[in-house]
Amino acid sequence: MSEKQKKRYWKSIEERENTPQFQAEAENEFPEPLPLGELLEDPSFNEADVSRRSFLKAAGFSVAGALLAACARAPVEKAIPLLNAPQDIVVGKAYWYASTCAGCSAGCGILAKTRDGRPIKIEGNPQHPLSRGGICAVGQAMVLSLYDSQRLQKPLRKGQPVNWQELDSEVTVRLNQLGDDVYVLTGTITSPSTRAAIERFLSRFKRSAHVEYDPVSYSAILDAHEQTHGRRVLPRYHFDRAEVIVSFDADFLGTWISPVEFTKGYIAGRTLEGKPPRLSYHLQLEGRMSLTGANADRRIRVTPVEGAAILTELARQLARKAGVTSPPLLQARSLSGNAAAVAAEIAERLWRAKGKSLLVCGQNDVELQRLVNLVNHLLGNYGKTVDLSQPSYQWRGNDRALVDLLEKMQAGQVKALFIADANPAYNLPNPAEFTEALKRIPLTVTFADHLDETAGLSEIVCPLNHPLESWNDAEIVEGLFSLSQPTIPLLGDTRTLRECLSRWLGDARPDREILMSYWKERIFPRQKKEGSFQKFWDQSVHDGFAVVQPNKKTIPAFRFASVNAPRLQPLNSEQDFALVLYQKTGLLDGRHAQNPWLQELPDPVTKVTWDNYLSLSPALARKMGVKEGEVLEISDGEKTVQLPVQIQPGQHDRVVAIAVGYGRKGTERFTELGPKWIEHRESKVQPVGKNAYPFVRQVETNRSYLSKVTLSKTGNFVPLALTQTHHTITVPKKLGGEARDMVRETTLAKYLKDPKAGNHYEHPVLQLWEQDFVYKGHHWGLAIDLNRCTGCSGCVISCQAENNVSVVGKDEVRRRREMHWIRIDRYYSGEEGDVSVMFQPVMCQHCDHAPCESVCPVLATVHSDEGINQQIYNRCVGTRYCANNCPYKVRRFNWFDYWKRGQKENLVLNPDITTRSRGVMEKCSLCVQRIQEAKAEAKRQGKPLADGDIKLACEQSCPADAIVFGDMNDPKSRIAKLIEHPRHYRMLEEMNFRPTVGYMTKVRNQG
Amino acid sequence: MENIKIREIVIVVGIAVILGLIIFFKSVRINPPGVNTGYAPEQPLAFSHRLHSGDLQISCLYCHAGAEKGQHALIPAASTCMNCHRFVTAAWDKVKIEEARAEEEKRPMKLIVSPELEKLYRAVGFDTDQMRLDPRKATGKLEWIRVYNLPDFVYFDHSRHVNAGVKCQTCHGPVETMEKVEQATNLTMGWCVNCHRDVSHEKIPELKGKKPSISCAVCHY
Repeated sequence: MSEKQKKRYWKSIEERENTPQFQAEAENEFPEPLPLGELLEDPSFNEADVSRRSFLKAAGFSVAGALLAACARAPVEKAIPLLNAPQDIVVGKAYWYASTCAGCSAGCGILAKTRDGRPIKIEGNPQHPLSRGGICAVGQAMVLSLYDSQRLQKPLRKGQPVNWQELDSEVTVRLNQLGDDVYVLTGTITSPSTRAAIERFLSRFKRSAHVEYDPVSYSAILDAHEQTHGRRVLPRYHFDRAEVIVSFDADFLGTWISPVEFTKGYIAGRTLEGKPPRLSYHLQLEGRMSLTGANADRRIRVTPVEGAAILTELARQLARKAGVTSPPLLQARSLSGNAAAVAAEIAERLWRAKGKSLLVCGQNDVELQRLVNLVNHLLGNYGKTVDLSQPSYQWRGNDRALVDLLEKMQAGQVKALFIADANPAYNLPNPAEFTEALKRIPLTVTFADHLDETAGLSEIVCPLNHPLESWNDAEIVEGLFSLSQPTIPLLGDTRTLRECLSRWLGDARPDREILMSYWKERIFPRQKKEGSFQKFWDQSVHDGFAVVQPNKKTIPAFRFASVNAPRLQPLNSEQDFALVLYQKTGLLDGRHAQNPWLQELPDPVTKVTWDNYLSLSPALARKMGVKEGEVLEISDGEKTVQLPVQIQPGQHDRVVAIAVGYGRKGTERFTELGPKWIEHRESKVQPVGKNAYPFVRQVETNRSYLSKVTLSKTGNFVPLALTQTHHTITVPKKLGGEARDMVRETTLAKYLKDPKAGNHYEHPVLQLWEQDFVYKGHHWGLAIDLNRCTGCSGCVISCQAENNVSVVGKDEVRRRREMHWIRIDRYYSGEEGDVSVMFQPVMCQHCDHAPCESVCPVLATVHSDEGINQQIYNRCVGTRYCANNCPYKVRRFNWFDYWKRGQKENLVLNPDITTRSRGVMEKCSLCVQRIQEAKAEAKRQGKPLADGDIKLACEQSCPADAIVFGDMNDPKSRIAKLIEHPRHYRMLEEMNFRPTVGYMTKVRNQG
Repeated sequence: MENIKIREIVIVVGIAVILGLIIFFKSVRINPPGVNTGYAPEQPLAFSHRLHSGDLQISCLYCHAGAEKGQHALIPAASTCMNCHRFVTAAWDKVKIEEARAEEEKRPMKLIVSPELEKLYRAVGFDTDQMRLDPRKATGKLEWIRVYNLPDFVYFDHSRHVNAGVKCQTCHGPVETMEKVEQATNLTMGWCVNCHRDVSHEKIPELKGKKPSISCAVCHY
């Protein structure tokens, strides 16, 4: 493709087809005119008969009243000092504590920022060996869940609050009476000290077991390794060492196993900075459009069954290349046609990169996972890109053990069940069955943070600490122990699981001591660096982790005999569709449904907030004659669910997809979010989205997240709160309608020949200002590498937490009033079936010639002498001219007072930042508070500011290190070098806005 | 004729009213909205800056220790007061009188506790019989009334100003002479910005060489 033949990018089907409605929306910054017409039509408005005389009277009185009111003193504000000042703590200063993220069980290292004794922000711990400073959206949002007013505060017995002493004595007495058959059912527990406590607890009883399960299970990978390698563990995948990555349905950049760790590795393998540049080849086979698929060099649309067939063929061909002739494999039927050619091509690519390749599969199917193991074994990847000797303990769920336990429960063989960190009454395929079986258990105890589906059913509910309130540890991979420390005193009368179980054994030590004694006995002896335990402990608490001698085990030889060709059940009739259940990057398996930040985070690919939906391909939607938002009934023969349609370019025509994690109890409260008055509200209070777990099938021992469904129309319509068409930069037809190059990309081959490939755009620049302002001191700038950005949306939540960005609710998002200061534009290009995707984070571009500044009538937005486009809230009167004139559509207007006083959730607010009130415009400030703080700190220490001293919130948390901030006037800074780079460009350069935010061209392998 | 008379009366009365108003405002001082110059609220404990800072010459930073370390100057914790007041329980002259009287009456000296310090002791739980802290008896907080109060949309960092060499009195007035603290400056934006400008233009000798910014986002974010 020559440079002149421009690739067309589009954000939605409407944009691609350029519908009149899209045109109309693109023209207007604000979609709705002010509701003046409605107001005038309102009879009560007209009834208020106001004469000229009475109007003048009223006006006179109000002026007089305002004058009188102005004479009053400001409200009295009290200053209440501490009684005893703690030493070394300066009130108003931020302190950072290293800890471990508990948003999922991947165990990334975090730093919690506390102000005056309360955590307000979570950032990645750059020293942590696994996450290396990255942290995802979920991890960032954990700080909000700490202040959730719905969290359980007291233990409950039969729904009534009790105190711990009563509860302790009752449980101990009843456990003594019951005797045996005691089971503990949990999610994956990565904490070795908690595992030890459970083991100790259960050792008291005959016939007892600890059963772990994950709602979205990785059990098949563990089971497959048990069968092929004799070790039931999750291997540790090293994406950084792979030159060819083939992923079948594994969303490893979004939700699969350990996305932050994998993103770090993946990006390390795709850096263009080295010589020669590295760019691993990434091929994705999938039916739905995942975040990982969106980043792939090549994406092949397959149904799950087609994918499995290709995988089988791939294994066969690689076995042939490797000269392995093991019997079960030969039984596989040869493929023909296109699929065989695809398999042959993949096999060839993988074979050429032996030992430097990686095949991963996201399906919880043990047959497929054994095939994957075979392929990785044939390619010699074990010990290189797939590490079994130092495996991962991030997920340990065992589907078979769960089935066994359920059978025992149904047979009445369970006398006491302890459920912790798990919500089986919600996320099992058949919650009714579980609920029935639960009733047969004499003693049920649930450890939970909310009164969720399961806790509501059990007799005794023990409230759990929030991870930011507790001591904890986690063994993430062999030899790496991560530590958590409390950052705030307990907000409720809560405990940890470890503490409860120990107490019921008669061990009344505080939680920290239990943890410390475990570390002293079991972890301290495994290291040689520190001589005394106290030193080792202090250092580990300070760092947030400890690296010790791994217990290395020899891996037995690969058992070829265990691998057989998977049985494939293709879709039979035209009416059948393959249903793929998946997790969204925000809500994951549903455990974060109570977090409004994550509910309002637009999905990286679909850009829908506050809902789950049925994703269809555009071709299928046309064939069925359905529009976006139309509610379809999805049925697998037994269960049905009604969900609105979302049309997803790039999806396979026979695949439909639904996210799990929705329809949670307790999310009804979010119906109330947003302004209640003026606006029309839904009268029915209901949870956010619908529960899709009933479609999970138990296939032999594993739970399968694939199903076969039929679709039927209901005639209902539920508009989705999606943001993909909001704030579009597309030029409306009446203004010329030309396509502009917001995103730029090229291929590696072209890039190697010409580093400026894809970035040759020459255009006349008209100069409006005769003399430009000269920035003498600092000139702040930002560069975003589109080649690194995966679109994961971690920065969106990071910015939200740092800058007190409010949540507006579904109703307001539908009206294009979401407040996120960063949006991640997602562009499609190519045919609507086989699309190629680009992500581009867009925040205020801080133009040196800012169009917003010249139209503000009150000088509420002006430029600083360091190149920042400042927004002064107290000056703003809300004319919204600036938003109308902003070419990048990055300004956000407070249509209402989204903050409410007196909420516990307000404790999360950053006290350095103003909370904006109604009628005020806001936008990215380049984290000016961080710039000011770093400057003050440098002055206090008498040192000049160094490059990297200031890290913006978005930059700090980025798992891909895609964002670089710095002083463009400092020639040695990273940003100054990036600006000179041939890949660097600025959005809408030809308009001469002189944005200080720049982008770097994306480079892909030829598809 | 009558008309002229009435007009004269109106003019005279009008002038008298205006003059009266001017005199009235001079004595009362009226501030524009939002400005609280002269605000001197009654505090829960009659603490005298004149005594501590003026007569006794205690450094401002001894109590307001945050001023050079962080954004808040801080009202000192009660434990800071107790550094001295666990020994000093009343004014010197009162103690002297009691000493003289005790000598006269040939009896051991009684402990004199000033009623204001009593409030402090109650708050921290200081037992004057035993002269010992008993935290169980602490009633809790001392609720001071803020005198200098910037609006929430202004970010102000004490340490940046103190470390640059700005004297406390520049903004807070002669606190060492005040029995009851009073807002000495008007704290308007114009007042802030003018000082920043004057410093940049080297009009304030002791802050020569400093270049405080007058960009909006220095204070507003």
